[in-house]
Amino acid sequence: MAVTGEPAPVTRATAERVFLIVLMAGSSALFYEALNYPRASFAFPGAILVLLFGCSVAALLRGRRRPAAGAEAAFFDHPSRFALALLLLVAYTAVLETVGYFTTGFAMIVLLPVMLGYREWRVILSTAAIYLLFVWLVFHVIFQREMARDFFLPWILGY
Amino acid sequence: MFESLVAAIPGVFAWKSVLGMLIGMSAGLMIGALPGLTVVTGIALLIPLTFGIDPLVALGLMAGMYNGGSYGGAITAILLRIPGTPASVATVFDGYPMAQRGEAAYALQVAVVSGTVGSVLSAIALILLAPPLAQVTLLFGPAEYFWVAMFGMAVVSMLLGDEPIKGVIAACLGLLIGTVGLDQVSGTERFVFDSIDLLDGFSILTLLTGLYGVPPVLMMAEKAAKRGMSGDLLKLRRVRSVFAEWTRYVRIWVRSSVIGIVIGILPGAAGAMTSIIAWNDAKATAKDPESFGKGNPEGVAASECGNGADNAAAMIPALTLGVPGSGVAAVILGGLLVHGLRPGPQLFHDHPDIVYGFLIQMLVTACLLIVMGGLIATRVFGQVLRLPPIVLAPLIFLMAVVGVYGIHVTIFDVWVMLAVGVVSYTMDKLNFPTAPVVLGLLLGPMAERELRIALSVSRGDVGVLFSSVTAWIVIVLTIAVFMSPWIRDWWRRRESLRAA
Repeated sequence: MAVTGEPAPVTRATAERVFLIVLMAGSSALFYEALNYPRASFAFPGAILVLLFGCSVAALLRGRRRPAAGAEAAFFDHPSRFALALLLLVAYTAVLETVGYFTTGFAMIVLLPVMLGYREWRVILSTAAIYLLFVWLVFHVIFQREMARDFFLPWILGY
Repeated sequence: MFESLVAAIPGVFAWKSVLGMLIGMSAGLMIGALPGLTVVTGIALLIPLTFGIDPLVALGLMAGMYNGGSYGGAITAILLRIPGTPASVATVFDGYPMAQRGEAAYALQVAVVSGTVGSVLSAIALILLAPPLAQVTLLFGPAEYFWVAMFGMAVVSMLLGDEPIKGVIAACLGLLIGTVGLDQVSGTERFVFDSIDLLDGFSILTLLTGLYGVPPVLMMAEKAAKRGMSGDLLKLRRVRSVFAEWTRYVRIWVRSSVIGIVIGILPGAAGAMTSIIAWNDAKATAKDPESFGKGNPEGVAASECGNGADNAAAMIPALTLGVPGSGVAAVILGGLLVHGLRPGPQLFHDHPDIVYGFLIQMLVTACLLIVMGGLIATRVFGQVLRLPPIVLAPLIFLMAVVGVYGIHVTIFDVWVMLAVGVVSYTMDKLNFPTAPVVLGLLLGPMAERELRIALSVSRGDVGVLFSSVTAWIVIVLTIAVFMSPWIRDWWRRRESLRAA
């Protein structure tokens, strides 16, 4: 038997099973938590949690008995790209308040396409400039919307 | 009703409201045209940005985006054979063959005129039908409202997806998220886990943006398409005029509009199926049905007219009962609640200037479509299609952050948006519908509150829930909706047995 070394892709059926098991575990844990509430406050979420658990079990059994069309198809179109994009979104959110909206925004517009293999610098940089100028003018200047305060920009622009 | 409509006109034509409608329509045309982005995504991204703006301006933006986005999907359907929105699937059938024959400009013109006709008739239906229907709901008490909430969730859970059980699970998730925070009756903390951020529950704006704004970003990144549309496709030249041939289309416009309005009013039925049913009807009643699917402009007219006609009509059950006719209407309901407007008869009574203003805005934006969706505008707004999706993806996420961060000025909301986005992406991939989550969020608190009021008034007697004819009508309808998948299966088996 040939060994390719590549891991088998996660199928939709597997992902659905995992999702439903997470729902079952989550609804059980929340039900246990809700038992601490007074009866009137418990009744509504308690009923929903029982229904959620029951439907998750039913969907799980149904999926095993009658797999849906495309159940064996891969869940991710491109797992590494997905992981890269998600990692970047998480990193962006983690530093947003420290670094500020415009600096992280610029980094995001440049990094995401570049990390995914796009190299048209003229398009990337002009898009970044136009987009950030638009947001600055419309949301910062006109609507005075609160945005994560920039750490570097005041230092660079001298204000 | 007539006085209220007249009184709302000055507000609708105030410059800020007009500007809102124009901006909303421009954004809608672009978002509708971009494959992978739907009107629901556009409105979900828009709502947080309207936070703090005059409600009528905010609703003008939403009305513009709704009608604009509905037509925007036709641009790529005709030029690229890619429906910009699910509702423009049927436009591909005849629109793309026309473009292949060099009639792209004419196909776009047929699409915009037909879409305008459908949207205008639908807006007129909304204006005529919504206020009287709202009066009927004055008969409702807490028990009836509880059942209406159940009916709304049954409709959206059972009818919006392929698998009803997944719809129910999605609705449960929405209902559950709606219970987080202080219990509105007793003040008990529920699922707060000592977090101050959770004390007021989750912001509906954050949840909507996460549900609809984040998944397209992840999907675009996964596909990593590096090419936008060629600019040559946007060099359109007018050769024929729909207006000179209007008699050819009148019959189709009338039939498709009626189909769109009726389907739009039925809760949970509106959406992609309207344009397909209208196209099928046009084909079935045509003298040359064999020409459909091969570039017959009547096919484009039927699809786009039906598509436009379900827009405003889907708002009829949404505004009067709080039961949306489509996913877009569900998100607009969320937008209304954000601006302190609760659907139902009280909405028409307490805020006539705003609700009647919104009805007129739906009509005005429907009329604006013919101006802003013309060939020149298509050339202008279509430029956004030249941007590669891989570059567009971060822009969508950053715009979502602008909206969400500004609500409470806390990074917590951005984390929630991201987490909800990942769950929503998973649900999309696994064919779990997301509209029931929104409806659970919107109707859950109402269902719980009305149930507890009804029970406290009757001193705990459950019989109060079954004590009126109105309640029974809604109960029977709810049961019928829950039974509908089995009825459908039984009907199909019966038909196949008969055919055998």
